Amino acid sequence: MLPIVRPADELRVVDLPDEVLIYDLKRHQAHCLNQTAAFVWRRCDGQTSVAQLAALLQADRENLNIAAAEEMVWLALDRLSRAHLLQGRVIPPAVAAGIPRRALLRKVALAAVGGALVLPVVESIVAPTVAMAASCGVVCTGNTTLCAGFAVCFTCLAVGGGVKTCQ
Amino acid sequence: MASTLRRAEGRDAVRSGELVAAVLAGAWRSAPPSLCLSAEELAQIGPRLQQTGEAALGWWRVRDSELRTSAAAVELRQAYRYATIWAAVHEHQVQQAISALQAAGVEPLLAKGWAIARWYPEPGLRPYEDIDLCVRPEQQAAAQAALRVPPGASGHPVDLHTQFLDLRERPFDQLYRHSEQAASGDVCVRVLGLEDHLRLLCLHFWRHGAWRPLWLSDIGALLEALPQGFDWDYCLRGSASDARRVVCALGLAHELLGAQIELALFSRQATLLPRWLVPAVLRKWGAPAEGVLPPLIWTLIRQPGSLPHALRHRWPDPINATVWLAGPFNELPRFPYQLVDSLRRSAAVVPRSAKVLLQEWQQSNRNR
Repeated sequence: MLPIVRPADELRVVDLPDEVLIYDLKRHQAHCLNQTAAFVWRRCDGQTSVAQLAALLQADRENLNIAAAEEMVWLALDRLSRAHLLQGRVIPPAVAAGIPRRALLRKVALAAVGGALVLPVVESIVAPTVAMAASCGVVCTGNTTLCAGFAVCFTCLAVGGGVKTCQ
Repeated sequence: MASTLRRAEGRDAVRSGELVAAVLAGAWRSAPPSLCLSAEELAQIGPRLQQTGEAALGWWRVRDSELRTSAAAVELRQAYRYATIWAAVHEHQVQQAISALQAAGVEPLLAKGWAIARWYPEPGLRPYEDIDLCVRPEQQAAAQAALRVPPGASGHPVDLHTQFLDLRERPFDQLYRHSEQAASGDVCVRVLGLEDHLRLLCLHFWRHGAWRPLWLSDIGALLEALPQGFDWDYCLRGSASDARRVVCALGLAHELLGAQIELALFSRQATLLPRWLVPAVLRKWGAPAEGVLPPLIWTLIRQPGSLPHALRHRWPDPINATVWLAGPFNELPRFPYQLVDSLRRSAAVVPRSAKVLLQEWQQSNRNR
């Protein structure tokens, strides 16, 4: 099966200068892709094989031989897949053959160091604890609460997602 | 000893508040001024910035400085990333909500949130949660029906109003006449006019006791985006006390965050900030966030030793006391306002205290 990204209506994507941010609307998870991971993810159109992706990556990066490029693509696909950013599950052949991911990573890392390349990174972004929804910033524990130190905060209102904040 | 400790706590809070103000000064600009802050100082206020929603702006300030690799800056960057992608999600929600209303023949007015985020260099710099929409009172039912989502579907976090509390003397039709249109993707969004918006931001800032620095940053961002023909007369029209509060908020944005404003537009008297105001705001910005306090009567019964501490934390700050009692922002001492506000609050919790006492009594009877 050729790797393919999730449908556009399931994801929100923002391009930053050196990374790509993705929000999964179904799983409510946010991810940050570095340039290498984003390069591969952008080209997972269901029509491009891993060998073709490797060739594209090799053409884009200097000092990368085709074997290392293919390892790098598999690593990126594995990470993208585990973050549920691809349709279906993509398992690198080496992993399917029983080689531990750590060993695969070490092999690709060595190739990357030799070519001064950046490994694909797919990082989950955790929501900061922010009181942004609340006008007074106090999270309620009951239906009503006394928000000490604020002018007019006495009632807890449902804000969404089951979260109540004092307004 | 205790009062010395209290004064020291107050000084620390003001100092932290000053650091927050330093980080936010001009942070709404594409090229904010350089920031003179140590890594330790940034680490000191980092959690506070995270908590009150200014972390993305914090990253915006430090992203080109030597601080960018510090541990505190890395945390700020994560918050910036999250806020950036979340802004894209929210904008889509705004489009969906407005489209649903427009399809039902309702044209809402949008305020705050997305409408404010537009004034920042990137929408993610100004995080928001709910979508504040105002509709004509006679269209409220239709609007609610249009926004209703089937069970299980993800809805829009819409806060539907028929008037904005801080603009209650301005009816919907008046706000609509002064409104303007903005584009969000393919959707045409009607947002509050700049005059009404600036007034709303200022009065909202005070009504909530100025606790969130981001709100003053909003005022700074809007102030610096005002067009030549901005109608100050309309913006300040209404009660003299509201006008004074609006001008005080503008003066504060100038004083604390370096917002550029032509103060000559106003009389010297109008722009003078009362001496108690700036320290009160800074103390609030720098003080650790308060959790929900247990009822005082509960503390009295269960932890009488911590009663002085509990009382101190309930003592109203001068801003809240003044705003709640609709007092003027002048040089007179705030103590009378604080005292009256404290009594008012105490009276408000009497029924609750009685309930707690009853529960305690029932509990002790059961245990006997």
